[in-house]
Amino acid sequence: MTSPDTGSSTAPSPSRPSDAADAALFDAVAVEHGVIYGYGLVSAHSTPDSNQLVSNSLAGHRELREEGIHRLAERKVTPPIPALGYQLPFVVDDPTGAAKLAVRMEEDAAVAWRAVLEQATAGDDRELAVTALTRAAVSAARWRAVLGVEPTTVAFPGGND
Amino acid sequence: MLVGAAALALLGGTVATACGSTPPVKDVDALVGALERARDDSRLAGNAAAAAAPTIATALSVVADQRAAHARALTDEITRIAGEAPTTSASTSASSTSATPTTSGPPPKPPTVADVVAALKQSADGASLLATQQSGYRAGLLGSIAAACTAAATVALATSGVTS
Repeated sequence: MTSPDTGSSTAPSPSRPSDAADAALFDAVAVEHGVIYGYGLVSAHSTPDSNQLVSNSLAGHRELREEGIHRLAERKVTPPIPALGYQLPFVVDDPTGAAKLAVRMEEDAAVAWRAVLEQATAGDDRELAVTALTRAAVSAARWRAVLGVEPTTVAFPGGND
Repeated sequence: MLVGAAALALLGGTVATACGSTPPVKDVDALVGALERARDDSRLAGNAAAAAAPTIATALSVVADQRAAHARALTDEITRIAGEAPTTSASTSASSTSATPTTSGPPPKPPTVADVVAALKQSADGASLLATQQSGYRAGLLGSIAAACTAAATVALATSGVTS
């Protein structure tokens, strides 16, 4: 999806925590930063028919990012900051490209939140992760429908079980 | 939608016990429950597909396939942690003592899309809850299953011309 544009592909500053559960949440927040950036482009290139889907998805990702940041801060973990820019996996200059980017970002969000789910040691982190994973799966399916991709759903969002 | 941090302290201690190399029997039982739901949903969607109009039948068949894939993944995981294949009321398609008989043709009154949607939503709720009670790979698998059920119920079976 949208990968940070600055420097190498190593962890963004601040440094990634060593605890596995914190690290997964840190990664998820970093992914959400990129998704929120990417939805700006999706919004710019989508048709008006997708306005509601764009705004609902974006609002959901903002909420998840803020919640993730909040939880990291509670554990004295410095959350990741947004990159200065993000590299897109392909050129986005029309509604089809926008929808493809949205699918890709939702798939990446699903992977990140499933990792949170698997690494979490607290039940309410798992609740957050299941909520996020489900939202990502639903949004990805809606964007596939926009693209006319069949089927719109996958058996294992965020994984390849 | 998002839960507050208050529950963190409450749940943090109890779930840690689920991480052992020999999971309690209740973990296996919980997974068997999810497995039976996956098989039931797959059968239900398959029966509904057999009786549905072609446009929605395709989406129902996809649901049947995905729930069957869930059943396979859950079977693998149960086998891994229990050391043996799960013994449920309907082990495989060859079983002659299944709780809900799988006949070759559609039943007299075939299930509707709404029936499948309702079942998927229940399955999603069950898998979501279970995912928060399990850990590691099992939590992830159940979370993906919950997400897939919700996406199927709210998108795949809704965009195929069904309004409910």
